[in-house]
Amino acid sequence: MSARSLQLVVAIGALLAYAPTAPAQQVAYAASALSELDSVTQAAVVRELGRARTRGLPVQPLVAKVREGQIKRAAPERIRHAVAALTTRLDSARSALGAASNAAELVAGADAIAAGVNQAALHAVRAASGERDVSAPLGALAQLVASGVPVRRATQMIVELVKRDAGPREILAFGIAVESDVGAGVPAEESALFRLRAIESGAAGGATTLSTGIGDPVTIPTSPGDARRPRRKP
Amino acid sequence: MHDETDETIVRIAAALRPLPDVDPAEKARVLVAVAAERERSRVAGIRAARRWRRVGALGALAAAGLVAAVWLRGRDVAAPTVAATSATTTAVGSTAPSSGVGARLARDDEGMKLKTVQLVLRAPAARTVSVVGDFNGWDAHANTMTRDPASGLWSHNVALRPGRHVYAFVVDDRVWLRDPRSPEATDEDFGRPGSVLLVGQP
Repeated sequence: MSARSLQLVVAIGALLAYAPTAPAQQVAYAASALSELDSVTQAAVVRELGRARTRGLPVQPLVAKVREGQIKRAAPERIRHAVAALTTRLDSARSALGAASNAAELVAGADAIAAGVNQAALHAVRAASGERDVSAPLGALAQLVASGVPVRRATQMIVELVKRDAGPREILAFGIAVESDVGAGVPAEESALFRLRAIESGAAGGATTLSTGIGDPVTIPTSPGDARRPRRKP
Repeated sequence: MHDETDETIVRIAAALRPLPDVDPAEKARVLVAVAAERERSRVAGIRAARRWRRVGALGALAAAGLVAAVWLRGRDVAAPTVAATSATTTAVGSTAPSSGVGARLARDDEGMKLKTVQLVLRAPAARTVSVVGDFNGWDAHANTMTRDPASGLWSHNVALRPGRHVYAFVVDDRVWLRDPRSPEATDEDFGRPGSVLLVGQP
């Protein structure tokens, strides 16, 4: 058996050990990603997968991180650090969101942390959402923060929307609208305030259609003739 | 009188009748064809302007008018193709063309509804283009784009979960290219930024 084949067997064995219920396609994909690493990095990554598995964290995002590093031609050392950092972020997300959180929520939480969102903000969104899935609110929160809205302000806005029983559609439409405004030169916080006011005034009835910037108009409730459009940056 | 009323009701009912469902695959093809036609118009306009510039002093005046006309027309036409290599994204709808005619909603392994988004990249000189992102595990072989020979536009439809996604293009298996028309996603792990796509509910 060649060293390469042996590496592949070890990688598949590790994956089966750490993700026994994963579909065959995922295992093959993961084995392929791991087998392309040098033996030292592979051993380190497999240890990291084991650490994640024993802590009840999803393994698939970590394998995807390996593949991301490979496709970006990152150095093995950097891939190892990135996988370890993602494990930490997933762990932090679970601490803030609760042990019952699903994999998509943990990944969204980890992404939000990478974007600059803190654990307190994640906890606030979870507390406001109850048992509802928080993937969409966390995605919108991450993008607001990445766009330049201060974490505290962005969290208040998302929590406000969640408390108003806004669904994922409205919350993501809010994030998409802000993103579109920022792309057009509107300061992020100003846009977010405007869009939030537009949604809040929706209680009065009426509706307006927001262009989301991706050819996908989204209708959110609002009253006609309410808040003015935000101004572009000079 | 009675007949008139009946006819009015019939006409109103006809007007209110919902339009037939559009085949999403056909819709995607039309979108690419429109983008390709726009690209051809833009290139033709540029070539015409170059020819006019060669005519001389008298032609320069006419060329100025033509260029102005092309520019005015191209303000929205040129939007999807702002540079030698540029990209745009379009939400095709709540259906998955790849799943065949009549499939109204795509779902992932966990039964979550997916939204099909069309990604378009202008890269006339490219031999291969792939889309990579968190939605396909950064697998360069999972979503390869198709080239329209006439325009050099590459397109591909991806079915995505609602939420925030990070993606990029890989040209000729080696050139990393983020979508310039979408917000940048910083990458502290590897230092190669991608682009962000927020996908709403199907």
